[in-house]
This record gives sequence, structure tokens and C-alpha cells, in this order.
Amino acid sequence: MVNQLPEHESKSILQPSNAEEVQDCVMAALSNEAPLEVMGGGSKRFYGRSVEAPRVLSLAGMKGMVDYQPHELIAVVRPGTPLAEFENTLAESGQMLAFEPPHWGAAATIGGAVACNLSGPRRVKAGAARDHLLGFQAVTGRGDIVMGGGRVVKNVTGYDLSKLMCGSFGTLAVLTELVLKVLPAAENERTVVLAGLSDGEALAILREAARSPYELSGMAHLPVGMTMPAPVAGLAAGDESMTFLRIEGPAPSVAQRSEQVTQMAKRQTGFLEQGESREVWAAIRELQPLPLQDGESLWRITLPPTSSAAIMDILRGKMPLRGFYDWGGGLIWCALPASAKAADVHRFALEAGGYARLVRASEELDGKTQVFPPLAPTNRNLHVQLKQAFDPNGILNPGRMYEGI
Amino acid sequence: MELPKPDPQRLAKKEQTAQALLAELPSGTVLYAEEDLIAYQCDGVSAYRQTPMAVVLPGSTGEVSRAMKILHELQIPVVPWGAGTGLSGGALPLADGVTIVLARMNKILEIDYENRCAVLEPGVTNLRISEAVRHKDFYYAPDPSSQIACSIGGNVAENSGGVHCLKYGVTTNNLLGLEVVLADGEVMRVGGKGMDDAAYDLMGVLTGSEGLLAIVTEVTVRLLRKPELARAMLAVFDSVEGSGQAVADIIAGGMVPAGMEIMDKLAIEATEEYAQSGYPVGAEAILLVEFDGPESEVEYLLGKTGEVLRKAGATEIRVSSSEEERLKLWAGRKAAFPAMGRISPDYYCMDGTIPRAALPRVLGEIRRLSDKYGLRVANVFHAGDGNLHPLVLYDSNKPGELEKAEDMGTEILKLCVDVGGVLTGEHGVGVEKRDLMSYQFGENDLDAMQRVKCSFDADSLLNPGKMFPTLHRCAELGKMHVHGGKLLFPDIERF
Repeated sequence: MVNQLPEHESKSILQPSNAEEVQDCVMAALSNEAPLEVMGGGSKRFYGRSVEAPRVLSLAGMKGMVDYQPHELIAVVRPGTPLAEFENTLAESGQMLAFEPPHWGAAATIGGAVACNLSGPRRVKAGAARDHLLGFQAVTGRGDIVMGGGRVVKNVTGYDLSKLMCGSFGTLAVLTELVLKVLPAAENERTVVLAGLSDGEALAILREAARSPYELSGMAHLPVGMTMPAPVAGLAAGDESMTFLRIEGPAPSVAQRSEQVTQMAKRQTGFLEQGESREVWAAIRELQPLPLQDGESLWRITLPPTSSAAIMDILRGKMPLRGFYDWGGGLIWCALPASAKAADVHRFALEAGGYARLVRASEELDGKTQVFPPLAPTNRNLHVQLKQAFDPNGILNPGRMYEGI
Repeated sequence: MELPKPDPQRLAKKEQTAQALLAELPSGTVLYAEEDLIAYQCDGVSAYRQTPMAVVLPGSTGEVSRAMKILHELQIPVVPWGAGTGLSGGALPLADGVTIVLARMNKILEIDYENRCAVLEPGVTNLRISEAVRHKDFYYAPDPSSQIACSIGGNVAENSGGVHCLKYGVTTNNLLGLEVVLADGEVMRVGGKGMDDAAYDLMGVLTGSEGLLAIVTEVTVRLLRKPELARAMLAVFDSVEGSGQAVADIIAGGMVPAGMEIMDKLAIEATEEYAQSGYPVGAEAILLVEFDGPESEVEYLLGKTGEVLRKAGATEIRVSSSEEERLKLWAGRKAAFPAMGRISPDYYCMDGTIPRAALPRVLGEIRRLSDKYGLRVANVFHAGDGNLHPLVLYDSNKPGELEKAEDMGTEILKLCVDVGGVLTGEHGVGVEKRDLMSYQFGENDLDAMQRVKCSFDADSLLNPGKMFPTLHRCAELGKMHVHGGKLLFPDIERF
């Protein structure tokens, strides 16, 4: 439910309905020296370090489309708009958010999706959330209402502040309006399913597919032991891994390319068509293959696709692990036991040329656990400087990403 | 446009600066004799010229870092320079500054097909990337018209686009990692070969920062597999407005072509004379549409688009039937800028982006302005993304014409902002549009950008005088705003 905190929390909730009211909230927080926890629907509230703040600034009251011009490929939307509602509106005009943001619950908002820079399986073809935020209005931690970017798809006027907003987890400014690039949804889709491959075999096929001209828009591999989405029943035995390759486009193109992909893979288990295909990719996007068990933490590791099988092996050698691959091997989702040391996971990821994030911890985090990747001193200094620039008094989600940031 | 006033104290340090650089850098990498500096007086905007105090031609990241440390110590401003092809005066030298030219750092460091990326030094030209991977059927997507000469480092600084960015994005969407040298000489890496940055998207902020935040010393770009097939079609229209509506209809039909370009009558005439692409001279407008991808998809979309174009009133439609024909159709468009040289001694190229729906109004106004100033205007238009390039034709030998062209350009750009668009779609702000920034952005918006600048470069030594109409001192900006003289607000549980 939107705007309800667990009972044991005594935080009060501020629910402004426009940018000026957000500004009021920020100014009050500044004068009272009382930081704010910035929140959309709260569906990703577990992602990040815990925020010491007496009040929640909820954007859930700021809902709805401000302006939608399908022919211009842009939508201007308020941050608290439920993601599902927003996507339904786009679908009515045959369009979509091409970065396919994970929801992780019905309360998910577009503002939250952008603040976390989370992108789904189509990221391999269409880019990430950060590639689709064209402009914004926000209230900084100084209480200034600022605009960045624009309402057109091509724009290099001034610094690209949209990039800074996206993925800053509400630590720099409170987004009050977003301009997003929207794209036509594909007419058709089909998923090629391969069963029984080892991680190494599957990832080699996914990389080959990524190098092919067949324009795959989803490339995932679920090793044995994952919970399989319903539509795949019958396509593989219970003890087999599954590999998925999604093809989207006009019908003749989908037919041609799925044939080519099948030939390339030199094996085939089956096709998932249209609705079944959509269901499988929604399940992958929502991490349904990896339900967290008691005492497990959820990690997200992005890395060069060639490194992913190796890092999975390293981790497996040290601890029990369940995990799967998306983005053609460029993304690993894994559940690790509580005993896994965050510092070790970060180090393995950095050594493999990637970055790890502790998305959901098994228990309440102590202040020392690193959620986001450790930063080199120069990078860290710039993060501190930028936090200072936008939120010098540390009143917006203080400490959500790093100590002091 | 006023050039930044040189600081006499800095000018007095010329000899000291040159000697300090010579002492630390290999011989031949520091130029400071007047005759050696002439080649670095201006970038692609030749109307603005300035001779720098010295030029440094580093051969490595270490040398860039050393030069920056020295210049930081001496508090001498720095202008980064890639290939000098920029169209907004972003690399215009400073009389009291040093220009750091990255052209010698032009090695392709690594091509990694398995991870589909290439690691490059900043001086590698845009086209060379695609040429280096062509034998494996790969390419680098952003293709600015200057791609034969422009450098990847400059592309990052300007966030360059091209004619295929509707489908494939601009530079920022095609980068994976950067190495940069900061104003104090520190080397920083962001991103990598994976698909996410660590925390804040520093790579996103650096891209398009026009050399004001850091000097790019290494770039990791995403490589794309060449599509199976690309075919272009040319449609002729009775009016530019008609061609604009056709573009809206194509997008409404759920199609995202690889490129969509509109040219008006004068642009058609000029380019046809220059490139002989077979464009219909005398037509009011042509629309070029290109699809690429799997063969069956391209065929299907061409068929569907043909119907849309006919319904939208196209009087003639041609489709390329071979790669040679496709390139010929594009040759005219790609030569649009140089072709202007045939019909006018000089031209001034504007670069605003507008919501496409505003095209009829903007074109009408441009015609009115053309009459008002007595200057001809040719229009080429990246129609898919609304990026308009009106080319104002003038003769700099006629007294006052450059100023007239500039004034007219200013009016056109203000018009772009008035209809909900922006000042620049791909050429950057530079010095050229610097004074118009406050027309598009409010004071708070510009302050936010300047705070980013201060986070990276507190002494404002990197490319000062570009992008911002007035540069505040960072100490001033650091203060908290006190609204209405008080910070005290009533407690607000009312929401």
C-alpha cells in the first residue's frame, strides 16, 4: 500500500501535491535541521542504506500525466504516477518505456524507477533508464526548484543534469516532474528457449547472439535451481537450465530472425509466442526466478559479459549461491547467504571489471555495510562535492548511498 | 559575441608557463612561438578567432595530467581541443590560456568483439572506429557529418549526434567508460566495459560538458553489429509542412526509422548542384527515410511507409535498390553544409530542436525573418528528432552582414525555445549560444549547472567563457539561498 509504513516505524509522512509544496517541505526540513526520507511508492525502499530521517517525503500524491505527445515520442509525467498506470496509458497509444523498468510491487512509481536507474531485460537493445530521461523538474536540497534537460528527444544545451538525477536515489534533489522518451511497442514478439545448457555454453550462445545482426531484445540464462516461469512448463525437464532469447518486431521479421537464432544456436527446445513470451520476460524482470529465502541477501552485479560466468564460479566456490544472468551475461542477479561479506563481493566485482550492489539485505544493515561499490578517492571526492552542491545540509535521503551521501 | 577579456597577470606569465611546460614535457609537445600557434586560432566557427598563449600536444594520459598539474599550479586556464571541427566555438582558444590538443593521442587501444566494445584514445577520428571493425561487420553508431575528421574525444565533449540517432541514440547512449583528467591533473575512470556506472552517473554528466569539467583521455564505446540491410527512400512533397506531417504519420504508425531527413527547396538546389544525388530540383521539400535491420523487416517497413507517404501527399517516391543507390541518396544530405559554399560566400548554421508539431509555425517565422533581414535561409532538418538546421546565407565581405546573420540566428533560436524546444540539438553551446542560455534556463537552473562545474573545477580553469553567460565564483555559489530573508518556515504537517 502506498504511504503506509510498517507499524513499528514512527516516521510521519509529508505528502505534497506540487513542486511548491515539495519546496515548502524542504525549506521546513532545512530550518528544522530534520532530514527527509524521499519516497515514491516505497516498493524499492529496501534498496540502499537506511536513512536516518524523522519524516518521509512521499511523492505518492503527485500523480498523473502532465503532457503526452505520442508523435513527439515524449511523455511528461509526475513522479508519483504508478508505473503500471503509466505503462498502461502508453500502451493505449501503442507505446512503451523501452527500458522496461522492474516494478517489484504494485506501489512502484515512475519517479522511483528513475531514481534507482533500474532497467529490465530490454536494456541490452534499448538502453537504460538514464538513456530515456530527457528532462526533469526537481527541488534541490537547497530548496531551489530547478529544471534540467528539455522536452525534445535531442538536446545538448548545457550539462546533462538528467543523467545526474537518474540513479542518485533522491540524494541530490526531489524529482517533481519527469520528461521521458517513449517508443512504439513492437508489433510482435517471440522467445527462443534452449534447455539444458551449462552456464558457459549458454553465455557463449548469448554473446554470439549479441554479436549477430538479429537484434535480440532479451538474453537471459536461468541455471538449474531457479523457479521457472509458468509458460515454460513442458519445454524443459525440472532439472534443466533454461536460456531465453527474445525477438521483437514486425511479424515477418520475427519469423526470419527466430529461425536464424535457432540455426545459430544449433539446438532448439521451443518458442514462446506473444503473451507467453511477455509473461516470461515480466517474470525475469520481476526476479520471480529468484525468490529470496530467509537469511539471503539480493545482489545485482553488472560487468563485461565475458566475466560473468567466472565471477559466478568464484562466488560459488566460497558460498552457497543461487543466481541467474540477464543482459546477455552483462547482469547477474544472485542471492547470497547473510554470511557473505559485502566487501568481498564488491572486490570480486571490481576485479572482474564490474560493479556490485547489495539490493536487499537479509537483515537490517549496520552502518558499515557497503551497499554501493566502493569508490576510488577521486570519484568519491566528486560524489561528495556533488552532494554538497545540491544538498549541502544533507537533508535529502542522507546516507542512502554512502556515508554522508 | 564578446570574447573573454584576457587577464594581464596571466598574459605576463606566458614565458614562465611555457618554460614550466617545457621542463616537464617531452620536446616538441609544447608550442609557443607565434607562427606555430596560427593553426589553432579557431575551430569550425571561423568567425571567432583568438591565438592561445601556448599549445600542448600531449602523447599520453600521463602527459595530459602533468600539463594540467602545472597549469593548475600557475592558475592558467585550459581549452581542450580534439580535432577542431566543432560548430559552436567550444574549442575557441583563450589569449591568456593554453590549448591542449589531443590529436596525437590517436591509438585504438583495444577492440573487444566478445564484449562488443572498443577502447580508444581521444584523438581517434569517429570514422576510423567504424573502419577498424568493418571487416567483422561491426560499426560505431553516432555519425556526425564531420565524422571523417572529428575525434571521439570531441564527440564525448559535445555529445555529438548524427543522422541515425533517432534509432541508435547520440554519443552518450553509446559509451561504456571514460578516463578523464580533472582540472587539478588527477586521473579518474568512470564506467568500464559493463552496462552501469558505480553510483552517480559521472559519465553521463561529463558527456556533453564541452570541455568544462575534464579532459577526456580514453573512451570505451559500444560497438554495434552492422544491420543485414539498409535501404533509403526519397519522397517529394509540395510543402515542407507536408513532409513534416508525413514524419508524424510514420511515427504514429509505430515505426522508428534509422534516419529521417527533410530538406527544403533551397537546400535541395544547392546540394544537387554540388553532389548530383538526383534530387528533384524545384521541389518544395524532400523527405529521406532510411530503414535498417533484417531484410524481411526492412522490406515490410518500406512497404508500410510507402503507403503512409502516399496518403500524406507525396508526389513521387523512390526507393534505393542497391547499396550504391542508397549512398547516392544520402550523398546530397551529407554534403548539405559544404554545398552551401556554392551558392553563398558564407553561411551560419543554426541547430535548435523543436517539437515536430511546431514545424509549420517555425518555418513560417523563419520565412518572415528571412524577408526581414534580407538573407536567404536553406533548411535541413533531422526530422525524426526535431533537430532543425536552418542555414543562414550571408557574405562576410559585405559590412554588417555577419552581424545581421547572427541577429537573425538569435531570433531563430529564441523561436525554438518559445515553441517548447531547445537552443542546440547537437552542436553545443560553446561561445556561440552562450549568451542565450538565460533565455532557455532560469537563474536556478543555471546555478545548478554552475554548481556542477564548481564540483569538478572550483577555480574555473577549464574552458572558461564557454556555455555560461556569466560565471559566478564558486565561493559565491556555495552559499545557501535564503528565501525572502528567512529560513524559518512553519512546521508543515498539513500535507
